[in-house]
Amino acid sequence: MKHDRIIGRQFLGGNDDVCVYLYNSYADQLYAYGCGLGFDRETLKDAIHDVFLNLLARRRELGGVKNIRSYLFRAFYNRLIDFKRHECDTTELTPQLDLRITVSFADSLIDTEQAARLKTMLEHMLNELSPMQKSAIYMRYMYEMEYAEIAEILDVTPHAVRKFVSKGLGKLRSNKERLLLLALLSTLTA
Amino acid sequence: MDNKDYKEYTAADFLDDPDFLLWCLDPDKREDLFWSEFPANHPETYAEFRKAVQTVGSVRLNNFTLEEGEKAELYDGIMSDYRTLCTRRLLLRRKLFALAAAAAVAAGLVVPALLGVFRPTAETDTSPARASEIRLISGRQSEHIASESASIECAPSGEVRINGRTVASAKPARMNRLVVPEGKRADITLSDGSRVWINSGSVFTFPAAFGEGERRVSIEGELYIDVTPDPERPFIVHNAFFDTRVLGTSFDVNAYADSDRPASVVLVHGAVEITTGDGEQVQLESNDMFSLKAGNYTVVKVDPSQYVSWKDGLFIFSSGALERVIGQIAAYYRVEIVCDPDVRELCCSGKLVLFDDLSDTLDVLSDILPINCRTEQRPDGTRVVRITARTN
Repeated sequence: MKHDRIIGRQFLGGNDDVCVYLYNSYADQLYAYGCGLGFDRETLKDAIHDVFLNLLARRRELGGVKNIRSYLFRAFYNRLIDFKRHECDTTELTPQLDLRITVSFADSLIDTEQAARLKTMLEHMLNELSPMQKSAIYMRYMYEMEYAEIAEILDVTPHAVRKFVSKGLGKLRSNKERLLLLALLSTLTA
Repeated sequence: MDNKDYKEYTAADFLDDPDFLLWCLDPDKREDLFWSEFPANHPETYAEFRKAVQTVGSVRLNNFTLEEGEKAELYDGIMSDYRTLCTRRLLLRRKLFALAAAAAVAAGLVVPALLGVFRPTAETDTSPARASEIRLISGRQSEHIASESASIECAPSGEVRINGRTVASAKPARMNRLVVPEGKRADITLSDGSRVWINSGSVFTFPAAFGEGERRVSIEGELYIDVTPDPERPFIVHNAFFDTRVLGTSFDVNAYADSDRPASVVLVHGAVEITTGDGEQVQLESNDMFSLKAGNYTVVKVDPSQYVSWKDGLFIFSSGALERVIGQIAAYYRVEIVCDPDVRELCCSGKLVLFDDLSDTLDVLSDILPINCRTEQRPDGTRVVRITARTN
């Protein structure tokens, strides 16, 4: 993601066109992430609006930002937490947001029965993990983010992210007998 | 799992194997040497294994998107709020600064804008894209076609029509040559119904009508072909580097004689067999890209739409680096383009319409990306385009 750093530098240095580029590159990623966190369309659009407006307005103060994408994801997550807090009317705790994983296929040529089977299996597998494990695997797999980048978003150390990924996959490995059964079941009910 | 018998394994079996799925999901792929080394240890199931890897490769997690209109509207909302914010800030600042300072800023904005307007017109006249016309050469006859693109039809009788007008009724066996200069395109319907698109800077040789045996054509440059199936008469596309033999299929051949790029074939669907100059035979499956450079060939899986979209007058990119996009534009317009290291890795997605004029295409590109494109004339008369990061 070297080019993102370059873009980030240009943007923070005051290039407005880069905002179009950042928006086109990341609005959908933020939206998809927010959907997984369980927010509705309009709330997500509000959060994207606030995050980008804030980025534009405050960019001269953001010299310390190393990676613009992880900054955007983190700011977006915080904004959603704000919304949630407002909604629940609680102030004492930071609400925990779970990430739900929904599987789809980029290639429409895949056999529908096989796709349905694979979808059931993968969704069961992934949704059994902890929110942190899921988030780390999701960001790594979908956006090829570096561990350091994910660490900034989840507000943990890169080492911890590495652990989330390997522990998550390890947990799934130990559960695999059950998964096999699940695959069989999904064939029977299909 | 090591005791399992994988000989009879199909793609579906792999997809039901949680171990296999986990390996596919593992970002680092090194945890599990068993699967990483699987193709080497089980060559007999390689095709099925590869199919399964591809299927999992198309898995997307939470692939939700905003609709295009919705996305644009949201952006406009952000920008309009931002402008309001700026005006408020500007009003505050105006009270502090003298009016002269504001006038200086305005002047600074106007000058580059004027330069921007005058620059492209100057290079239009020297553009090689306008230098010559599409030509169809049949024996001693030569037809010039003035339009930007030509549509040619060959009837089985040997009659040749250009843009709907009959121009020649040659001996069916006679070979015709179609010369397509830089920045232009042509498409031909051959006498057997096969459709061919010829890319800019190419020469295509074909008979007015095919005979009984093999159907043979040749290309120097790039073509995309949709071959009408006929098991009795195999179709062969010849070029300086290799022969591509087909029964019924669609594919792209790229073989510019003077290019640094490897000669290549991208197979969209069907099956082809390639015979290289050294007599080596290679069979391709759908979405395979065969490349030959300095006598060595490789076959990799690609998204064919990115390689064949030129036939519709546009390039399609899905998160390609700008460097690659530029490489294709340079090949298409046959100009040298030098890309600043700062912008080489900018990520591009979407469709780029290829205008007849290079400067129009570059204008579009610099509208959507934070780059500047500058065309320079070298002392020897050749053109070079320089792409740099925009810093205004």
